[in-house]
Amino acid sequence: MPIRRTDPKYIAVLAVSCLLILLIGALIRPSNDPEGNQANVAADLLQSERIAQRRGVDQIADYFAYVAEQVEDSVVLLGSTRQSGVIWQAGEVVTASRLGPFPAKDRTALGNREVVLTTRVAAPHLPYVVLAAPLDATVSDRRPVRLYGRGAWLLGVWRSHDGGLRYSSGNLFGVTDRRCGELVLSEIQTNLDLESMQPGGGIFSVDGGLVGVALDCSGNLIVAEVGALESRVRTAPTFDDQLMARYGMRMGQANELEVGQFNDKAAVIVREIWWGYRAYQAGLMPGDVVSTLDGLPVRTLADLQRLLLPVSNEVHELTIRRAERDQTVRLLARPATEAAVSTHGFVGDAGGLPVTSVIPGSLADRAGARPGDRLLTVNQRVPNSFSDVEAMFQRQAGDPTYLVLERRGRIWGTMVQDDE
Amino acid sequence: MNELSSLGLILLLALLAGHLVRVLRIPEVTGYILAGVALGPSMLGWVSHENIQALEALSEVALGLILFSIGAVFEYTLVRRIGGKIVRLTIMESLLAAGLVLVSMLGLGLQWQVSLLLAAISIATAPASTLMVLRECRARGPLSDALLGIIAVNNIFCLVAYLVCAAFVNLLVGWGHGSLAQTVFQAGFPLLWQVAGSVALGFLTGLMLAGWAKQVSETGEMLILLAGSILLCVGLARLLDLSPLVASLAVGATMVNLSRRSRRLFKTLAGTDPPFYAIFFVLAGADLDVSRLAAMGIVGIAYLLARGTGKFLGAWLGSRRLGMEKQVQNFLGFGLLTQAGLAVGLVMTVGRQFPEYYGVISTIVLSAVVLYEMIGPIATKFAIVQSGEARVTQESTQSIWA
Repeated sequence: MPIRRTDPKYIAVLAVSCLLILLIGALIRPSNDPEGNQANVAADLLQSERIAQRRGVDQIADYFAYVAEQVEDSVVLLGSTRQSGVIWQAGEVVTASRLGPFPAKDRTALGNREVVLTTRVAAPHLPYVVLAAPLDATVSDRRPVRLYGRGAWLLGVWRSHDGGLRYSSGNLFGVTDRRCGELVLSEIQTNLDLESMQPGGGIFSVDGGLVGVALDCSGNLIVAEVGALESRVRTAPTFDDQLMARYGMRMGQANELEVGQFNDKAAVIVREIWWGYRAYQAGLMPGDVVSTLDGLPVRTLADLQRLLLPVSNEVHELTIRRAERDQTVRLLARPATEAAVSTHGFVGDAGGLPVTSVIPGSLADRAGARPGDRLLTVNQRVPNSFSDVEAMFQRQAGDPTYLVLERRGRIWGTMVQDDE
Repeated sequence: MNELSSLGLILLLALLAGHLVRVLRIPEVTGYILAGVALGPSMLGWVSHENIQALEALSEVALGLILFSIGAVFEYTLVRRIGGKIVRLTIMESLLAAGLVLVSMLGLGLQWQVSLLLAAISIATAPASTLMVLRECRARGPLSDALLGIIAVNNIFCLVAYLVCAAFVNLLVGWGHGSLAQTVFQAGFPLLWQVAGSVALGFLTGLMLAGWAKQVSETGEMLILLAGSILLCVGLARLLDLSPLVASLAVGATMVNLSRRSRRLFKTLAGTDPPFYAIFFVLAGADLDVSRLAAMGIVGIAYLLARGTGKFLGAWLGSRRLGMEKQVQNFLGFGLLTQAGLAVGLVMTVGRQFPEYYGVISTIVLSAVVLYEMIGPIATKFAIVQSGEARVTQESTQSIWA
């Protein structure tokens, strides 16, 4: 006899089966951590078992050594900069950026063979560098740090200058947003001894997942979380980014205050220059007004698109106006990464007056000056002492004043005005 | 801006946008989504990420109600009449879309794992915006029936396809670690659990709803009962790691088959739910990151084209082979373009399960969703109007089952 659709017996059997499915399923499903993430590959389970078996402190130390060995192959030493890098994915190494241009080519030893790396993304305003590498093996298993609870063990793994494997252990405290130049990255809070660690080293969970990379953020080594870093690494570069990567400079359309200062209704001005990059080598300075590029007039930023054409060894000629005088500047169009790297490592040829303290709330404070910065020019003139600066400000008598400051290789211009 | 004021702003601007787009003869849903984009963090920023997160519960209820409504297509007599054809048609369009996406992604040099997961995600067609366009046009006819059926079946298909692909990738990644049984369990369990568990949860909730509905006579009480059941179902599904989407569909399907009063319930629902839907679509719009379009790249465009072509070809070939009506053959493909919530949800799952592939997959799918979300409803309305199934274009809040 056929069963009717609304037969109570039939429905009761269905309901009981559904209840059983839910009960059994809920019981046997893999348990969740507090954030609702499950261990989803068998490898994770196996690793967790291994950790659980090693409870004693001496065994933990053993285990750290074991984990460091497991991830060893995904941390490399870069030959010319002597810093570490992690193999991010097949054919890609991520490392920390450094002061001055990053070399266009680098090399690393992988097993017995030497591999040449080509710089793909490097710009002075980005804390990371991406290198292309002809490698297909030992990709880091990247994991979002939120998979791990507060207090979880972390392992910093890097290479010393001789290529030897180094590691140190610490705990995870949390993740906060951290401004690094113009980027906002997720910083992993940890008690790892970062002082002793090399920039570009990897931070791993004890189950071997890469959770962070040690990056230099305005002179401090921080651990940047891989998830946020990945989304940034995959973002298409903007015009600003490309200009920064190739020449180490930033341009901008003059704002209202600057138009008055530079006497030009549609001025395109240099806002920022980085030490060692092409623009720096060409002698450009913040506050320069660009009037022509290769003989063509420059009225908007779009007129600078020529600078980004894929040319090699070509020289661009720029007419700039500085301190009311026109000058011609020759800017080499090759990517800045091919510039010579400083052999001695001392950076200090920008000159200027060293700022030792800044009075809170003062004009200098509002201009963004901090102790340790150098004041290079005031209204495009080089002061010899701070009494010179005082005199210059008095001459301005409350009019806007253009200051150029330098900090850790970044040279930037800023317009200040006394409110009084 | 706090949550209440942004909620008010959302409702009022949704209304305004709805009126504005009517002049342009594009669907209200598109108006809501565009209003969301304008209000959201990628443009004006009046509705912030925090607001979106705080109002997410409302979105979930709205999506639950929408899928509950769609569940009504599983009515026994309707399933017997066109069920077989709908399933075959869905298989055809899903397979072609997934196949073309897979081939083009592999052709562009993406890893096989990434290509496979993208192919599975490409199957998803957004049920919510499609249903809204059908309602707005008060559409009735073979094309509308086919569309409704497909969006109901398609999402289950997509979920199963994703779970199968994820299990496959997991299986190969986990191979050699631990015992075979353990690896197979780890890979296969989510598949069984998400489908069987969700249907079971939906059936039990629907059973409770149908039983209780007999005792309730007032419209207001009926709505309280419905809202309570849907909230409970969606909440439990989240708690148990089940699919709220499939569970809500199952509630609707159970209700329509077990309760004589289901038609009244669906009608009541259609009269009172527009504010929820407005909130849902505006929030969906606000959550779209328009700047992603710039990062789309060749691979993103290839995904967009391969999926679109697959859906069109699959719908056309399938409906021809099954000897369906002319208007279905000609216009079904237009109605299948939308992609939204499920695709985004699956991208988030990829982030949890396979963080190493998340970057590529999220860039491709999320940028494609921005475009499909805008073009999809317009294409659906075009199909409905051109096929002559649109009955009224002014009043929009009536249920098509009313």
